[in-house]
Amino acid sequence: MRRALGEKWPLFVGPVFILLTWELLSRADVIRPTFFPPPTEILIRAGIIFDAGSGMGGDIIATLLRVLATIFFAVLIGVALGIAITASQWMERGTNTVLAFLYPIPGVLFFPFLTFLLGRTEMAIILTALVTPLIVMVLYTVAGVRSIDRTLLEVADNYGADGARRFFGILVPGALPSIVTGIRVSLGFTLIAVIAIEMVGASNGLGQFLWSNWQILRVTDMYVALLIIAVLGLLSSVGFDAVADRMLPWRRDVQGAQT
Amino acid sequence: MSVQAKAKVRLNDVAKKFPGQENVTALEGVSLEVAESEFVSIVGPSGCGKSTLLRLVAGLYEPSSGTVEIESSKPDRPKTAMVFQEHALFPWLSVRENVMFGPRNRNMPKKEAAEIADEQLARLGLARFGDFFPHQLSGGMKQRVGIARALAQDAEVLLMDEPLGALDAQTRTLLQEQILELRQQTKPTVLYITHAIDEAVFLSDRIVLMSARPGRIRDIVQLDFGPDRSPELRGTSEFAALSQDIWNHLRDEVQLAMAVDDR
Amino acid sequence: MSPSVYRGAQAWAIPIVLLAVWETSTRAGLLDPRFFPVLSDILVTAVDQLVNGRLGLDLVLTLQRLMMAFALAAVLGVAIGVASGRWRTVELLIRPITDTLYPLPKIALLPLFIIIFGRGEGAYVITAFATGFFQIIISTRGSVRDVPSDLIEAGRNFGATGTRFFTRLLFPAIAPGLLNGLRLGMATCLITLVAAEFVGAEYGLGAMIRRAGQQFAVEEVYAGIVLAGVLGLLINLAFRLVTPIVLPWQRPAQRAAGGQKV
Ligand SMILES: Nc1ncnc2c1ncn2[C@@H]1O[C@H](COP(=O)(O)OP(=O)(O)OP(=O)(O)O)[C@@H](O)[C@H]1O
Ligand SMILES: [Mg+2]
Repeated sequence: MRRALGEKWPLFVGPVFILLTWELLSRADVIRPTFFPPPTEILIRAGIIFDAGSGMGGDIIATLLRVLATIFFAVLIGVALGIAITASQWMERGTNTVLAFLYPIPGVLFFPFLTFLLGRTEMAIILTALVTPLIVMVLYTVAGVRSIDRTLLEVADNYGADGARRFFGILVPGALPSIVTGIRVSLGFTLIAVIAIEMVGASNGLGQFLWSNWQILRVTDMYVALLIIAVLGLLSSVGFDAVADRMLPWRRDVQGAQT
Repeated sequence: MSVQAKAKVRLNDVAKKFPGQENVTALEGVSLEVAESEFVSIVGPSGCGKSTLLRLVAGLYEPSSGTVEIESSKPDRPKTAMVFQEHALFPWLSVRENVMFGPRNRNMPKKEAAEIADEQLARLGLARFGDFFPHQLSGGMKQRVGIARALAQDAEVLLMDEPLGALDAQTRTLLQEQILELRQQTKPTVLYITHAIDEAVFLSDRIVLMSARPGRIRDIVQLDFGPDRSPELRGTSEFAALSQDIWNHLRDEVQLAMAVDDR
Repeated sequence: MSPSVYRGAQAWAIPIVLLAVWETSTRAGLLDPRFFPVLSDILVTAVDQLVNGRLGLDLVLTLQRLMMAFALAAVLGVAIGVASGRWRTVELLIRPITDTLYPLPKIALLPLFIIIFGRGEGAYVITAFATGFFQIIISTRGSVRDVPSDLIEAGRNFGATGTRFFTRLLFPAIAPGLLNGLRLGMATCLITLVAAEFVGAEYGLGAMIRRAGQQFAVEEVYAGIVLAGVLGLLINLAFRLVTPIVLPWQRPAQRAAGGQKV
C-alpha cells in the first residue's frame, strides 16, 4: 500500500504545482486577483453553497434535477426505441442515417425552436437537453443488441423465450454493458446541454449562476460555480464507473468474451 | 436403415440454401429417421452442414425444401432442447437460473423450476454450483451446465452440437462417460454432432457420415454395442477397427472439403 | 438487387420518407407554419442567406475557428496522448488533470476564457480547442495502450529504436485508432464551438441561430441547424475519404468497422 503510493507521487505534482503557482502569482499581484482570485479564497467562498441567501444551493438542486430528469427519459425512451428498431433492418439502417445527421448538432440549438413551441418552460429545457443523450442511448442500445452472441439468441428461441421474456430476459441484459457505456456518455452530454441552456435561457441553475455572476464580474462566485460543475463532471464519469462496476456482477465475463 | 421403434424425428428430402452473395447450398436431399431412444451421431468434414441440419430440426431454420417432423408424445412437451458447442450460457444468469431457463419460459412456478434445475445439476455433479455465475466455472463445468439446461427441458429430442468440442482430452473422456450414463438412465432420443470418430463410436447406435458441401448423407453405419456398453469398450480391438473403418470412409470427403476451402 | 444497393436502400428509405412527409404535410398546411416551415423553403432560405445574407460570413467564421481549434487540439493532443500512453510518469502527471477536465463541460469555461482572452476570437477558439484536446488525448492514449506488447517487443528486437521506433512502429500501429480519435475530436470541437457561439458570440453559425431565434425567423433557425448537421456529416465524410489514403494496408472491412464506432 505504502509502496504503491510511493510510486504514484507524480499524481499530485500537476494539481499542486498549478494551484500553488496560481495562489502565489495572484497573491503577488502578478496576475490580477480581480480576475484570478487565489484558490484558497475561492475555496473559502465556496461556503455560499450552504448559504440560503445566495440561492446557490437552489441552483445546484435545479441543475441536478434537470440532469436526472433528462437522463431518466433518455435511458427509458432510448433503450426501448433502440431495442424496438433492431427488429427490422429497414428501421435500424434508416434510423442510423437520421441519427448520424442529428448527432453532431449541438442540442442547445433546438432551444429557440422548442421555446417557440412551449415557451420558456422546464419542459422546453428538458426536451432540448434530451436531444443528444437520446440519440446516444439509441445508438448504444442498438450496438448492444448487435453485440449479443448470436448463439444466445438461438438459445432463447430454442428454449421458448418470447415477448416480454425475450425483451427483459435476453435483449436488455445482453445489451446492458453497451447501455451502461451509453449512459456514461449521455451523462456527459446531458451536463453540457443543461449548463449551456441554463446559460442562455433559464432563471436558475448552475449555468445561469455562472453566467450572471460573470456578467456582473463577481468572479469568485463564478469560480465556485465552475468548481461545482467540475465536481458534477467527475461524479458523472469516475463516480459513475465505480457504481457501474458493482451493478453488473457478470460484466467481467462479458468484457472478457469481447476482447 | 433399421427401424426398431416408432420414428421420433423424420427428415424428408431436406435441402437448405442460404441466399446471399455466395448462394451457399448447405444441405441437399437429406432424408433420415431417428427412432425413439435412439442415439444417432453425425460426422462429416467442417462446413458440410451438420450444424445447419441440427438447427433445422430445432426449428431455428426453415428448410428450403422438404420437411422436418418431430413426433410429440405429450402436447406441452418441448420438441427439442439443444446443447451448443460454446456452452452458450447467459452470463447474467446464475448457473441455476440458466438451467431453469426453459421451464420458466413455459411459466412453470419458480420453486418447481428450481427443484428441477437442482436435480439436473446434481446429476451432472454440479450440486454445489447453483449460485455461481458462468464466468466462475471451468470450461468442462460450463458444458455440463449446458447439458443440464437441456435435460431440464425434458424435450422429445436432445440435440447436441459438438458439445465436447472445446474441451481438453481428459475432460472430454470423462464427459463422454457421463453422457453414456445419461443414455442408460433416461433413454433420450439424441442427435449428436461430433468431429471425433471415436466419440461417435463410443456413444451411438448409428453414425451418419456426411459428404463435403453441399452436405448429403454418404453412408450410415449401424453399431451393435447396445446402450449398456461400458467405458472399457474403448480398449477393444473391435472399437479400433470400426473407428479406422469410418475414418477410411471419411478421409476423401475431408480432403475434398479442404480443397473447396482453398479455392 | 445487389447487396450493397439493398443496403443503400435500407439506409435511405426512412430518411427520404420522413423528408417527403415533412414537405407534403407542411405544404398541405397540416402543421403550423410558424413552427414547421416547408422543407424546400428552408433550403431556399439557407441558400439565399448563404449567397446574399450574412450566413456566408457566419459560416466562414465558424470554419476558421474550427480549423484553428482543431489544428491546435490535434497537434498537442496527439503529442501528449502518445507521451502518456508510452511513459508511466507522464501518465501519472497528467492523469489528475485529464480526469478532472475531460468530463467538465467546456462551455462552462467560456466566461473564464473571455476574461483571459477578451471578447475576440480567442475565447471561442480556445473553448472549442479544450473539448477536442482532451478527447484526442484520451483516445490517443487508449490506442497507444492497445498496441500489443509483443508487437513492440518484436520491433525492438529487430532494431526499431529511437525515432525509428515512432515512425516505423508506433505510428503505423496506432494510426487507425488515431484517425478515429481525430475524427471524434474534430466533431466535438464543432459541437462545442457552435454551442459556445450560440451562448455568447456575435458572429458565427451558432450566433446566427440565436439571433434568428430572437427574431422568430423560424426558417433561418432551421437553416442554421441543417447547416450544423451538414458540417458534421462533412467531417465524417472527409475522414472516410482520407482513411484509405493514409492507411492503404487496412482492409476495407476493418475500415468500415472502425468508422462505425460512435
Ligand atoms: N446463417 C447462415 N447464413 C449463411 N450461410 C450459412 C449460415 N449458416 C451456415 N452457413 C453456411 O452453410 C455451410 C454449412 O455450415 P454449418 O455450420 O452447418 O457447417 P458444419 O458442418 O456445422 O461445420 P463445422 O463442423 O465447422 O461446425 C457453411 O458453408 C456455412 O458457411
Ligand atoms: Mg457446426
